[in-house]
Amino acid sequence: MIFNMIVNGDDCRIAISGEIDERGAEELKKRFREVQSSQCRRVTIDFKGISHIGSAGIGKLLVLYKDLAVRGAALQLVNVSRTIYRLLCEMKLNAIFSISEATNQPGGNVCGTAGH
Amino acid sequence: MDLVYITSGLAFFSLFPLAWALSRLERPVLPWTWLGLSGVFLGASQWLDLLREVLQASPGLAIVSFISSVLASVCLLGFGWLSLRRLPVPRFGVKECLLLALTGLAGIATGLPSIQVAVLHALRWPGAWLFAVSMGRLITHKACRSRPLVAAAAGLWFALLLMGWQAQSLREAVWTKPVAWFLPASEALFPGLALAGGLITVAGLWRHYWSEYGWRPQQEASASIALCRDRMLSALLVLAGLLAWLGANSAERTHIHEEYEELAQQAVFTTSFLDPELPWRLAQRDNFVASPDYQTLKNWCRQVCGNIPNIRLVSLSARQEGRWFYLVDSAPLDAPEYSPPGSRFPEMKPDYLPKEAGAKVFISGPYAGNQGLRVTASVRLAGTKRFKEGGSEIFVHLDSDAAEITRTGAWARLPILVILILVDLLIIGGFVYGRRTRLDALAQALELERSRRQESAIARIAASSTIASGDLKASAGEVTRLAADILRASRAGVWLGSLENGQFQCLALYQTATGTFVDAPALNSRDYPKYFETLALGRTVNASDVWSDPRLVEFRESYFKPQGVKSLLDSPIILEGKLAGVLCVEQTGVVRKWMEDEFRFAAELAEAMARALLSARHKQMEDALLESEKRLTEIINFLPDPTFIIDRDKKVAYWNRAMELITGVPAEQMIGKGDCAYSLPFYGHRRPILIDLVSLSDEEFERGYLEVKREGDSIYAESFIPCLGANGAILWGAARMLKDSEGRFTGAIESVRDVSTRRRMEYALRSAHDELEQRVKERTYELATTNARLRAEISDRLEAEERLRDSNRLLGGMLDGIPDIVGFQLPDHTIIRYNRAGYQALGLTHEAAQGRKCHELMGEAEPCKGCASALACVEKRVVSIDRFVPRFGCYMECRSNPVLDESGQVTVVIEQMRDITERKRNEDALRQAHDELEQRVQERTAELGATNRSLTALLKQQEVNIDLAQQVLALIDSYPPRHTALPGGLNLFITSYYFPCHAAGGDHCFVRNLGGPGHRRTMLSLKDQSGHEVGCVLRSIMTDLIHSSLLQERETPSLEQVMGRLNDEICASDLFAEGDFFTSINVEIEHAPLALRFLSTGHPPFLLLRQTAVLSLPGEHDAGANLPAGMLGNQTLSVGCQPLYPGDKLIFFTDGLLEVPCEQGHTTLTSAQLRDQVEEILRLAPRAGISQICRALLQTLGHLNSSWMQAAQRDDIAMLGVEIELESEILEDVIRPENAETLNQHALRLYKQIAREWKDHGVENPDERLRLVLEETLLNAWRHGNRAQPGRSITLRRRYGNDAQLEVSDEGMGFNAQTIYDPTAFENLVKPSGRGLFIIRMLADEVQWNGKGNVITLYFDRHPLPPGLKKGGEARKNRIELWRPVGGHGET
Repeated sequence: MIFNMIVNGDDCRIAISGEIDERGAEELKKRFREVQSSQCRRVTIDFKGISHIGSAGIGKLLVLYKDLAVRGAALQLVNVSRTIYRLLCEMKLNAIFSISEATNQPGGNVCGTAGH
Repeated sequence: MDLVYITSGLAFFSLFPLAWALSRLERPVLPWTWLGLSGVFLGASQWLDLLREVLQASPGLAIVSFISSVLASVCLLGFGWLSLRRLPVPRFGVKECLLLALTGLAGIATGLPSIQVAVLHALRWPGAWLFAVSMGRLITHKACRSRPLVAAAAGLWFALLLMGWQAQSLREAVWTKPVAWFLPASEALFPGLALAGGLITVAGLWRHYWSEYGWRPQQEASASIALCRDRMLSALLVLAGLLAWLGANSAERTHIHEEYEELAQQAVFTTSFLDPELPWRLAQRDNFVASPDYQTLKNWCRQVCGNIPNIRLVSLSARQEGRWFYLVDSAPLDAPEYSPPGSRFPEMKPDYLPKEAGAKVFISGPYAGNQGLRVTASVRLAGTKRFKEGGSEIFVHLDSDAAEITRTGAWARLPILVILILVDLLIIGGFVYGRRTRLDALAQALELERSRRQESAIARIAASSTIASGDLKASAGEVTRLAADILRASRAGVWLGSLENGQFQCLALYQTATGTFVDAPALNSRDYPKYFETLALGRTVNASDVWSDPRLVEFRESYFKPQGVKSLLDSPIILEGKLAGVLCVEQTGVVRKWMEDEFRFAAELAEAMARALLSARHKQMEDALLESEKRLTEIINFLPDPTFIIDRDKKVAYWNRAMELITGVPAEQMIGKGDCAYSLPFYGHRRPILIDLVSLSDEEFERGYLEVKREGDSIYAESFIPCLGANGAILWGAARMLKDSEGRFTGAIESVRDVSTRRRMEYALRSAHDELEQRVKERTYELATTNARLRAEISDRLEAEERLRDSNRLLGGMLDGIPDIVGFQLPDHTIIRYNRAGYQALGLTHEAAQGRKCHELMGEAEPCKGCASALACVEKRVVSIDRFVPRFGCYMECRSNPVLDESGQVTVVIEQMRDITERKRNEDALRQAHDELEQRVQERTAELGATNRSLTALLKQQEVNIDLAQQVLALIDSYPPRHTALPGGLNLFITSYYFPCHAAGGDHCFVRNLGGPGHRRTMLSLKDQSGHEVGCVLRSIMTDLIHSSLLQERETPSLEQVMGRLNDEICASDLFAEGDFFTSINVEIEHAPLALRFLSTGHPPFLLLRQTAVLSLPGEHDAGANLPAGMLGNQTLSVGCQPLYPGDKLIFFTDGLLEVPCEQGHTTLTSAQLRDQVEEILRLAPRAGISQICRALLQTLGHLNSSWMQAAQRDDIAMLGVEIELESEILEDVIRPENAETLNQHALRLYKQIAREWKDHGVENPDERLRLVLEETLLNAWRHGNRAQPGRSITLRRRYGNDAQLEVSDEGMGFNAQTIYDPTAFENLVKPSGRGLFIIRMLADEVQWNGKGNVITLYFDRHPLPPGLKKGGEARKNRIELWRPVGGHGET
């Protein structure tokens, strides 16, 4: 799994590539600590390179969300593939952070609330 | 006894052993045996004569003796004749015959008047002549040709020999004939000359021998030498014979002289006392007979005759002036020998006795006289005065009988003859012995010399580079030259060919005389079968005399005669057991006997020629091999695939250009290298590669290759080669062992091919192929269904045509029954036909009216103004015009109905004319009444409007929540269990499709597993509420609520009882208004035994699919068919029964499915048509599961093609598919993860494996469904089930039926799935865990647990509906079970 983080003031953009299975979730957890320490206000995670995410990976996202929400930061997921997008919507996670589907896919969609 | 006969006989007899000895000489030229035989007969003749004398002249013996002499002469003739024929040149010809005849005649002449003598002479003279001539030719042939002196001497010698042989006969003949001079010649001169000639001839022969052969003692014992020696021997023998004859004659004459010398002395003594003048005086007288001197002399003669013994006659004669006179003799006057005095002797030559002889005695004879053989001694008297003065000479002659003298003289001959015999024996014996010894020694020496020369020649030919070079022409030249030189033959040649084609071509023919090669014609084996037959057997043809060899009879005229061949030595050239040619050694001119070593030498030369042939073939083969190797190298270099070859020592033998290109290693650097040097360019280090695998089997090594395949001595494999290209390459290699003709390993060959690009393309192609196959499958299915539809259309069309015909007939009958005038016309008013009423009204027949214009029949020239038909054609609608028709004199309603074709053009106009006179009247009355009514309606409408407005306000206050109603219905119906276990390992699979046309439709169904152990059954009910208004969902709720309640009763009633009670309740319910009803199909599937009970209430029949047959149940009036429910209460409902079998499938549907084609503008399907569709699907895919069949049916009908079609959906579509599934194969894997890392690896591996299985079984979307489910399931089993303990196992089982089934079991205690919270609840949204089950439930079509909770079974629809198409069924996520489950377990 490749984890790239670009901090630009209050904005932090994270590009993740690979598969987030059980092992990847642990790696994600470690890398998310960097995000915490960056004190960004708006965290955007680019899901373009993520082909698979399991429940553990989703759990780590929610941990990050809670940590960000504590200090008033927002989390949004962009360029989410259709399959992961449907999964997250079925879980109603779009109710707590913004999830936007990848635009190169037909019928791309943006749903969910902005921020928290 | 007469010793002359004895000695003569012995001498003649001695000829036989001599001749025998000569005939035993090696290569005798003359037929000596004949000479020997002549000697035998001659000897016999002599001894017979002797015997005849002894026996006193027996006539018989005389005859036998004569015959013997004749035979001897014949043998002598034969000897001469055969000798001349055998002598090489010249042959006995015409000249010889003439001379033979002449000598015969001469012999006869000399023998006359005696017939006996004449006959003997006739035979003896030619024989003697032939003998002499043959001997002369033998001796003088060639030897003396170049020596004139020798030739002349030889000729003289034999001439004299001939004459000398016959000297006695000639002498006797001459004595009585006037050839007087011959006698002295035959006595002395001829023998002397013959002797001289003989000596010269012998000397010349000796000199010839010595000059030609003598100084070369190693010369071969050729025929020339033998002939020369024969000549020498013959000459010596003849000379010896001549000498013996002369010696014998001389001895005989000496003896006679000695005998007569005494007589002569006595004669001299007696003449001493004779008056010498007396004879003279007597001679002077003319008549001296009367003279007393005559008497005195006569008395003296008598006295002398009496005094000298053996004197028979004494006479006196005188020679005067060269003439002889007889004077007196002692014979009485009357004696026959008396001669008168003075008679002359004319035959006596003047020089008969020499003049100055003195007292010498002259002996003449023996000669044949009148009284036998006589000898005369003549003595000259002492000279007288008169004589001295030249007067006469007086001689005294003493005649005696010579018989005794000759007999005694024969004794003198005997020693000479004996000596002659001994000399002959010595000569012959010594010659023969010496010749044999000499010949043997010479032969040995010559043989040694020959052997040495032959061995030298063989060694030279063996070491000859020409033979080894395979140059046949040069080899043949060398062999033939050597053969001719060593064998001293005239010619030697080599012919090569084969018996198969029969032709033998001359490769070389060497002539010794000219030292050059000449051409020779080819030989055809068919022309010389005996000869080639002998050669084919490997035998040498050696013919000393080609004219007498039966094997060469075919060559005589065609070859031997023109070429002059006398002797032949042909040795076959055998190559590989077959005749390949022949080495011919020929001798021309003279016959030659071939020696044993010459056979062997010729065979050796033939063998050398065979080796040359073999060398030529080897050279050809070597050239071919070199050519082949060159071609092989070019071919290998030309191969586009990199190829290399190793030899038996595993060193590189070939490294082609393509290999250089791919490896960058030039061939020069690689060829000859071993120790796996060929692996360096591929792997970077030395190691065995594929080419090494052909000769060894190493499983460990083979594992390093992909797709290893062995076929005999070949091996094929793929491998990743890291050292090729930037990123390595995948090479496909083929290697094969190379073996020789005996199966021994000689090397190996390997070709490789870069298939990297191909593999990539294969993968892409495979993916595209799979996709294409799917499309093809779908398209094929579409086409199949289309074909089925077309066939159905055709069938329908045929039916329609038949119905049309019936319809036409009916129409015709109906038309004729219509009282109105009905006419059919074209748009241009041309009449087609009228009905009976029309023809009657017009008063015309069909034939009179057809084809005429309508207005013509009405009596108008042109169409009526405002013609309804014209107007109908223009407006293309039904036009009705009331008008007054003058033709009929009444008002007619003209109603024209245009019939349009597919393009909308008017084809026919149906015009109906009705008398409306009465109607007109009624219309008027009605119009009036209508006006009145309208008034009343207006008043009433105003009243109703006010009422409606109040009702609308009321409805708004009590609006029905559709979603809530749906959820209630879903709660009541729940989700049909997809899988229910049946006894016997069977599985009841149920899939459902529900597409409401509005937010909530009137179609609803439920499936329940009922009954306890032993009586389990599955209940299925599919209902279709009438109408689609808002209240129908409430009716659905009501209906299923009542139905479910009835099923929950303790004593579950039967199907018909339940339905009967339901029907009664519905009918009694206020919720169902008048006219509300529902159709339903209700079935119970007994689990054991498998059986189906069905009850339909006005519902479309369901389909039973059994193998490829499809049944519609129930039939219209069959058991199970009832009225729709809710229409009539207290019905006695009928139930149908049907046994079920494993593999049976059922399709239940509502009528909305039949209307799907209407979405696309087609007509509604009938149940039968739907059945046909399903049959077609089954025919195309007889093994398809029910879910596949249902999906295919939906696709066929077109409902799944796109979502816009669903916008045109007219009615709810509900379909249930049921199948009695057979147990399918279980695939199982067991893992024992040590930690999360290994669990992850297992999960990834299993995902790939199971994804492949899904693909193989046609299960779609593994990426979206399987990966996540598998991960979560395994994670749960490991973490929660096995408590993350290492060593605990997790088992995965898969089965593929209608669904893909995945079962995961762990070794844990299990859990209760009901206790897991809903992660989508608001309070649980931000919890980081607890979503695994949710994901599993979301992605799997059905999830079940066992009772313990440690085995989870997931079912995945093979063909999930695309998102957006699937409607309804959301309530399956509801975990609340209103009704007590029976038969199924776990959660659905």
